[in-house]
Amino acid sequence: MTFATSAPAKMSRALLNFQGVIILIIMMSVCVALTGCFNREPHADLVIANGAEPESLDPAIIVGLSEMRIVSALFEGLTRLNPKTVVPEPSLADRWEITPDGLTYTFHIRSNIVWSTGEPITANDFVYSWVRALDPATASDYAGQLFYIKNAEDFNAGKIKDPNLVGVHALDAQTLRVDLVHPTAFFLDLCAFQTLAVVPRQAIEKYGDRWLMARPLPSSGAYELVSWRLNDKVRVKKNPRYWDATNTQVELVDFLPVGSATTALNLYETGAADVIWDKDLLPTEQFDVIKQRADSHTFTYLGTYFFRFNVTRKPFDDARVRKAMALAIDRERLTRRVTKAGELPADHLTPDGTANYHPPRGLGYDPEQARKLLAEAGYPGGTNFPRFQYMFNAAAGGASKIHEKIAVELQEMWRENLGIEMDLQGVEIKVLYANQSHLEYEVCRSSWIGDYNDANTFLGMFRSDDGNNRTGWKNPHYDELIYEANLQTDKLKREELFQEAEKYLLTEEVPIVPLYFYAGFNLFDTNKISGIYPNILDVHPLNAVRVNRSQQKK
Amino acid sequence: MYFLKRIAFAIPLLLAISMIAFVLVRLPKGGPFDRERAPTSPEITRNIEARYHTDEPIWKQYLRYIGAWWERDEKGQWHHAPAGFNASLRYRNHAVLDVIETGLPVSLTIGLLAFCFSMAIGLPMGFIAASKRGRWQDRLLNLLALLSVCVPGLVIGPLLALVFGIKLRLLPVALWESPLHAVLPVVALGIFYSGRVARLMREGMLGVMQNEFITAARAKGLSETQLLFRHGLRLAILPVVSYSGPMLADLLTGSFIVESVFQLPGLGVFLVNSLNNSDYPMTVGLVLLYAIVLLGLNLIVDFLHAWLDPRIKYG
Amino acid sequence: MDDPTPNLGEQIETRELAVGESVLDLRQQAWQRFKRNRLAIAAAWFLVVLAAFVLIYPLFSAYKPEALSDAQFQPPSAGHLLGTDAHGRDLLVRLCYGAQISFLVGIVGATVSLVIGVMWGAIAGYAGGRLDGAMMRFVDVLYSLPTIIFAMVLMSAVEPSLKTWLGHLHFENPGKFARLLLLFVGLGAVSWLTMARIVRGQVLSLRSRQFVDASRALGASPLRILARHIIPNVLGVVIVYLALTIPAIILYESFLSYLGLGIQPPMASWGSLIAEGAGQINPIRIYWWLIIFPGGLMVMTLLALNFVGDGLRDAWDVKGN
Repeated sequence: MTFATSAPAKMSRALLNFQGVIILIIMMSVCVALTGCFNREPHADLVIANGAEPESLDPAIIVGLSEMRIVSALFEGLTRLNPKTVVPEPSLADRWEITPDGLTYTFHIRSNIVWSTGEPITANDFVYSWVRALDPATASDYAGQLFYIKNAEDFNAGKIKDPNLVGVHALDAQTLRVDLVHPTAFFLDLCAFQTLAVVPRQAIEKYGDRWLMARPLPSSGAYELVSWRLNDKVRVKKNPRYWDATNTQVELVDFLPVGSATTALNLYETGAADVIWDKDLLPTEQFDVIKQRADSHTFTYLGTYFFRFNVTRKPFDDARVRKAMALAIDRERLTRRVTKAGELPADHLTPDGTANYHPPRGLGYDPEQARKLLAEAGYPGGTNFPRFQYMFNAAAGGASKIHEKIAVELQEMWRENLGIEMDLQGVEIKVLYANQSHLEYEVCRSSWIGDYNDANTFLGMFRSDDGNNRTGWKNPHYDELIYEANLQTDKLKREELFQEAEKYLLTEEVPIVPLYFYAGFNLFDTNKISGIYPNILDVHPLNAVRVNRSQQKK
Repeated sequence: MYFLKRIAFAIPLLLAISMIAFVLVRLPKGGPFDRERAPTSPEITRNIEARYHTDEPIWKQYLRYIGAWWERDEKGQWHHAPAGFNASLRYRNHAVLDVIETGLPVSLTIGLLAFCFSMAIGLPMGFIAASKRGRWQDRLLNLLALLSVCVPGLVIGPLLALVFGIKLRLLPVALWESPLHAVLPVVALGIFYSGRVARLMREGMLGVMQNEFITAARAKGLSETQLLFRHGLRLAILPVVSYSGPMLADLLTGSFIVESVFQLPGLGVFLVNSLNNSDYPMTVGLVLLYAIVLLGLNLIVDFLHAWLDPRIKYG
Repeated sequence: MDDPTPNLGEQIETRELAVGESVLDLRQQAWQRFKRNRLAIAAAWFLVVLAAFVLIYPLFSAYKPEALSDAQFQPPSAGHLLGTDAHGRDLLVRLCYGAQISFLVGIVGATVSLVIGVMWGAIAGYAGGRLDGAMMRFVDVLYSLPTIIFAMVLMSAVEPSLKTWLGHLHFENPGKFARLLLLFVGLGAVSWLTMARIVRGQVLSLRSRQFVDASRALGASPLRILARHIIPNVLGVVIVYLALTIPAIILYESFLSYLGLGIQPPMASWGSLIAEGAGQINPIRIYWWLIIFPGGLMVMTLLALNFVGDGLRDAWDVKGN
């Protein structure tokens, strides 16, 4: 392609043409862009800044808290948790009997309950849902919650192929019988847990993996799914066919997957969001100002922040070293200077306020004792102590850098009190988890949020064969204590055994060191919104929420 | 002809890109299914790996990914393994194409609008600076352009949100619900590039002003501005045109910061998150998408360039 | 990463040396022109003074950059001239150390990209034909990939092995150095593409010039021709590129810090300080000094670097301005 140079006049015409074309193209694309891409829809009655984008809304495979909040509105189970006391109360099952040995539960499903699309919900649906959660093909991370049921663990491990052998059976359309392996004091709490919620067989059999894309999506909870736009919002509306629909007040609710605390605050301050209810969405540096406000609500929470030692690596194979490092940490300083959200320093693992349990005292802050122990272990004053790495997940984007801050403080404390040197190792979160699982770390940051209101959810993890142990610490004495505790029907005896186990874990063996207990945090205006109660599990069923419409900002 | 050759060449190029991206993403440790909470039994881990084929050698996974794998089932019959490129490993109920379908319009809108914004600000700035060169207008505009290139987006974004969204309550701070929501993100994104465009335009203009036929036209007695506008513009805009390709690509791919500050459901956040989550089908899918867009843009830009500049010959 | 020198190749045309002129004369002329540019000289002085300050001040300051204290989030005062941060560390000292690291990262990164780019472009341009085609196609492929992927993958995949390797070499603090080394290499590795293209263009045009033909006629090997004739001529472009790429690299490092992939604490760079500061912009209470000082300093330095780069380019540009 060649151009002959033409006379200026011809060129200016060509130039004008060219300019005109360019301008036209730009204008057209702008118009297309502007009109095509916005979703105009009615404003929701309640907008909640929820936390991370949900990976899935399938009750059997979700793991995270932000997913659970949405799923609990869509799919319910035999029981649900009371919004104030988090004690299990009847939901889809209106009554039940338990045999005196605590091994057999018989649930009576409410008559006439239906899916939001009209089909009846029966005991067979529960059998289907629970077996599906246990099915190895579903690959549910939380299948372990069902292992208290007879043969459930073997079925999940593939040792048994016949689902009929699993201890859950529908005696008839309204009656469900469950056989347990041993008495489980918190089984009714588990029935309110998402993994045991009932899922629509009709949709799953029809659509397979994409059943959540079906519209309308049959739901068994107080709300049904209107739309789910990735990284944008999840919108739910009131399910008129819910058994307790008369008590559901809010019509339309939006869940926003907000990534950073600052954005969440911006949205809240401008009225675009009515509630912030995820403690990760709190900018910790500003907490001292925020907590003075009337709309901030903090409460104790069933979660602990701790770190793990890899006890298979030197020098952490020596319990004295671990104990010394634990004694050298001033937890009160951490919560005062770094986290600042009113968290409580933790010297024991199970948070205070756990049902039926009073945790024992653990190791405190005693730098003198720490130095003595370290010297005993062969590293007086920190000499010859190898330089080690503390692994944590590096914050991406606007996420809080709290793990980094804590790491910096720990580094300083260990250097000051013990004379040992530590390096910070920030990695991607998936890399952190992988390294934890494969014991490829030296010291790494962890946390645990209780699944149900019982000490077992914290202490059971550190049994020798539990997948969540991830420290390499195997101790038959501890295993036995936990096993014995779980066999007890007597609450006091159970508590005693758990206390003994926890004391052993945290004061003698110390494979982990708890740092603080999470504080729950909600931000909402009590004049506008009620029904969100501070409870230890931070569960807030939408069914209980009330919005004061006269106070609504627009 | 040349352009047809380019298009034909694009296909093996895209294949190469997908291969590189695929291998790169599988390199770091940490698979998509590693979590704080360990899977309840090794059987589950095995099941997940079998289902998503993460236990196979990498070349096999890649062939399976692009849909070029056939295998025998229990009955001994050959059948085609469904292509794996569409299954997101993190959002197990969404396909990669779902994500692209919802995210691409958003990213495109912001990218195009930011492009128009940068052009609308940058071109006149460069033009005026060049026509008044040496004088205070030139110095001021040059300084402004330089400033805009030196302030990072991660400061401008939150500042704009704070000033216009919170303090002045003029514009929404986040989300994507109406055309007004696009204003702050577009400005935050476009400021940087408007500075570049202004400087390029200025340099292009200055270069053109020496040009021969311009001096000829000047001899004919046209006024300076008229001169520049009618005759110089076509050649002066060439550097801007060649930069528009990479610029538009950068606008589309570099929108991560703006999207995360303003909580926009675009592709930038998905790309970075997929890297964090080791969700490799999503990563490779998005990378391929960017590559396709980039190659297409480069093609258009080259075409424009050839059309505008009589000195260029493609053959 | 954004291309900091989008038009460089077309702007600087190397010209034929006149009879009796050497490359050194060319350089002297350019230097004269540069000296006449007052803005560029002022900017250069600013950089020199800044460099001196950030190297000398920490030696006299009472505060260590990693010393924690209880004085968190203090605004600027007599005790702490620029205030303190979340851990009670003095901001001024941290800024100085951050400046050292940022400069280091910028210069080394730009140099790495320069070395790779020059070699790649020179070889491709000089060899021509198939090799040229293949090499530039490779550059095209890399150009179409978002650089963020390389950055993230490099950090997560290579870092552990690099650390063990450095540990074997008896480095005292392998973790710190591994990350720093990776940043140097990584940032350089994502920005060499433009340099390669520019150099190739220059080499292509130089290849057919008379003095190269003459050299070849005299029997000089390609390597010798490259080293003595072509590369010195390309040097002008290269220096300008260097001056303009350093700011781009420093900016990109701040982006990486925002993602958590940049400098690891307790070390600081401008990028990480700014990322921390940007996190402080919220509607409740702004610790303004955490963002104004690092941000302002970085902007001024980048401006200065850009002025110097512009000055250099104007000085080398034979077409005149």
